[in-house]
Amino acid sequence: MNYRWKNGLIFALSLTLIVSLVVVGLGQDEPEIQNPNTLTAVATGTANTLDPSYAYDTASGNIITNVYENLIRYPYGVVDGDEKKPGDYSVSKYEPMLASKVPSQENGLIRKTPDGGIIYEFPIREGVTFHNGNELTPEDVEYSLERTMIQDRSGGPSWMLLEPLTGYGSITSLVTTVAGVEEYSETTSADRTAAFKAFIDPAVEVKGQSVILKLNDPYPPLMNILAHSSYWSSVMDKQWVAEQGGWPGTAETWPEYHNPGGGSAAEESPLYDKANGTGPFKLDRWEPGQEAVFSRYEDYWREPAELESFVLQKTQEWGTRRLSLVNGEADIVYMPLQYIDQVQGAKGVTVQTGLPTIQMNPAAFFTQDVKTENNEYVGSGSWGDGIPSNFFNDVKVRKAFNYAFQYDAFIEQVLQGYGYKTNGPVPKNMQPYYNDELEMYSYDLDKAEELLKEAHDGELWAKGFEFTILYNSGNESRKTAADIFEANIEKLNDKFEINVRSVDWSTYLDMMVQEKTPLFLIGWIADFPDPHNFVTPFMASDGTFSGWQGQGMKELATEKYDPLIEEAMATVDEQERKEIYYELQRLAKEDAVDVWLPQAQGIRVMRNWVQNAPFNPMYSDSWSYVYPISKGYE
Amino acid sequence: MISYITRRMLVLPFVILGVLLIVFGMIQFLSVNQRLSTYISSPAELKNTDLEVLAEEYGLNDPIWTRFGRWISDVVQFNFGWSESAKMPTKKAFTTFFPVSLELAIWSALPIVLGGIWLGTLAAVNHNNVIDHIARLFAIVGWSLPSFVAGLLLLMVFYGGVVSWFPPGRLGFEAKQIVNSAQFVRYTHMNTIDAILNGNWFVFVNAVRHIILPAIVMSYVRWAMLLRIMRSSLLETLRKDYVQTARAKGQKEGVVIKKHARRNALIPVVTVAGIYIAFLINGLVVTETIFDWHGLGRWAVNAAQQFDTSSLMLFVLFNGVLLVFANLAVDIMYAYLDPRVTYD
Repeated sequence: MNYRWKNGLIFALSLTLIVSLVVVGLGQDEPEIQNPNTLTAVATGTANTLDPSYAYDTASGNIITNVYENLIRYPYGVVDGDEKKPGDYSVSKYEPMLASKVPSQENGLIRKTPDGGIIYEFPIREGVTFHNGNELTPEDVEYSLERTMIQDRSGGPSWMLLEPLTGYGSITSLVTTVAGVEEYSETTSADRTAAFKAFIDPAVEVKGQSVILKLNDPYPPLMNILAHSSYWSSVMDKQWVAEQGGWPGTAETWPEYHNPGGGSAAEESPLYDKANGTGPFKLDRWEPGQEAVFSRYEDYWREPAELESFVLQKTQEWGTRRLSLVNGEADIVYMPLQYIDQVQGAKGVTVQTGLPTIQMNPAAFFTQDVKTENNEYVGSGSWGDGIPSNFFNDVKVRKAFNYAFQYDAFIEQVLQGYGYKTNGPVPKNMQPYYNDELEMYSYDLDKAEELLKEAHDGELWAKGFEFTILYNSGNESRKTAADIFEANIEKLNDKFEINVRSVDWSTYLDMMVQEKTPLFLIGWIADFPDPHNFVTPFMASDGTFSGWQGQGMKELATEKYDPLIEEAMATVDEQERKEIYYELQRLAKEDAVDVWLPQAQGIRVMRNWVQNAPFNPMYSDSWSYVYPISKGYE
Repeated sequence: MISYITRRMLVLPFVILGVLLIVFGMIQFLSVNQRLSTYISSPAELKNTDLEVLAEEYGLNDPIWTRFGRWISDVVQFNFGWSESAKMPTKKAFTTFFPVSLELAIWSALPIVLGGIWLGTLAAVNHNNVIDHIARLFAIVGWSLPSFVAGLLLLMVFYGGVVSWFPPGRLGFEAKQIVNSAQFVRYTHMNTIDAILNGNWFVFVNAVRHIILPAIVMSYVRWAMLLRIMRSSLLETLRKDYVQTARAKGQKEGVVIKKHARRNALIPVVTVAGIYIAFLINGLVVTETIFDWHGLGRWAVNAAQQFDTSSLMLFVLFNGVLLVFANLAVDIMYAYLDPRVTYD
């Protein structure tokens, strides 16, 4: 055979081989359980740190939740891979974890002190060991809570313990107030030690086998803040942390361990890449941004976990994650809602939909008194080819926008049908505080037209307006929401013009902070399942988002909302609180401060051989606690 | 030649300093809040955050020269700061991601070069007949096929289909356990090479199974260019008189092509291939993403999206050095392959 044809033949043969493999590859096979003793979960987040006092992101939380434990936990419903229901769960009831009893007024472990304070007593379980073999003591619990309080890194979670236990939102503001100076840098080490002894130390005390938390004022969500899935309240081993170079627990030394790395360099904390908890899994290995590998802790105080090991892996690309799931190498994967059709009905794959979520993500915020100087997003800054600064100060305009949104279209297009309408800011699944007596705004262009004709004394309707709604690029749901506003408002009057434009996240953030976006879209996911965690960012005068909604919003909030928000925190009586939150939600609707967009249902995607997967909306990604899970067919 | 190299080396620090200043300067055009987005990459991180306090803490309000000076003085002490995009120290991020990209580059280099040359030869030898057309079509499809499509298609067939020979990622579960055990010494952090050095064939086979598909994708999308250069260069050579002479001597066709024509036709191909391979070491975002390889390319893109200055600057520094050396190497190769080129 001559050279030319020999090579040609090789080439043709290899092409044929590739094509035939493609054809064969399109076939199907029988699912067989891969790695029956290992659970592989594939998600997209990069954990920031393993330090429970530092972590404030769900990716870190997914690791910490399995290694560390808290005093109490929420009941979780258990779902088998082939079931669809979320099971019995609660975010307002508790079960004991490292505490042997859940404190309540009935069992006398929550009681009032003569000076008007409240005491929570947690009897600590005996015979529990950390992964390094050390025994759990009440001192460890005291130390852990205090450590979170003194570490208080910038932008971190410590405020959640500081607020109830000391009355201050940060340890620096506590110290400066005690010292009577303006700046933390002006305080002396004596001031700092004194502040610790006066506020931190007495807030958490050991009495026998119990730990006692003492609050000067009631703080209704305290139990939520302590419950498992609140990483900042994880129980650490005092001796071990000190051995790693961490805080030894003394009053004099705490400032050295405060705000490690300035809140941005997580490695500065000695627990950045080490973990030693009492949980069902030990951490074997962590490669940031790649994977975490866990193995079963055999001396666990409950029955050891069914699974021998657990791998939490990061894969950015959905297509790759999907293949790992279909192939059976991954047991649980994170799936963005828009891809649900790709896994519905796939062999051996279960898609659970309709799981309750506790979030308000996203909502559309109106900026009142939007800044118009050097602001290309408000046009000229006056009627006709722009909007005046007070465009959204008129409640009629805000209501008109609420009527001009196709809620059902948003559910269909963005949430693929897996969404629900809600009134904000208290999430629908946060019972009993969600006000379901309120009628929701619905799509009604006639009403929107009527309101806009009256708004701003008719000037708006006569002269028209133009402004831009921004969304951060890549966020398609925000774009669709903005498009819906554009289409409907422009339908009403030829002189109305709304532009929709994408900017990168950094510009988006910048514009929101500077109060230059007339209407912005952003969302909030619960730190702890209490309405306080939602009314504050959405309605308080200094709230995270409401703080960007301009002077008009600030005035509304100071006058009407702030007093109610405070009042709701002054009592632990559920009925009383419920009435106040009902009123806040009524006001939010009446004043139309935001547009409450439909929310996504929780969805999880797993192999049908995954059994006993726990469900609680407070576990991030709704599956992150692995202890009860086993693999097999029934 | 030596003086040429010396001159190029002397320019190197200035080139790199210039590039660094430009990149650093461009980031500084952004407002303070925009630069804060490095630390606040999602709404969740806004919680309980006072942006003004943060900006002050991170020194974002300082003048640009103060900040550049601070960065340079840190770098001189070999401290590259914290990578907010990789969530680890920048130095560690680089040493983690670099071997990943390098290993992929090494494994792709051979198929890219050999495949390109082979296809080019095939096309030239069968000039204008069916095989030529098919080979060119095959290569041009690769050139036009986005690597995420090629990558996902291959994964669907060789991983998600009947066979699961070639999974994504760098190692399987068991192999990873071995690699991370105390007995396994990680000399280079390149799995295939470490496996050979440790004499562990299980890990080697596993690592190779993971590297085959990305290497194929990286090669396939590059073959078209090499094929075209090889084909035209060989066609030209085949028309030369000395090739006719060889044929006239009665040499076999295979010997004429392989020994006489192809070697001389290789010069332009080697040059292009050299630069290709230098660029491969940079990491390739799409291939790394599809196959779940955590390499330099993905890190750089994440860092750029997040304005993660410390990571970006290290990447720029690395790239500057790499490209200056790659260009130099190509220049030297020219002189070596073609005696007519001199630099003195």
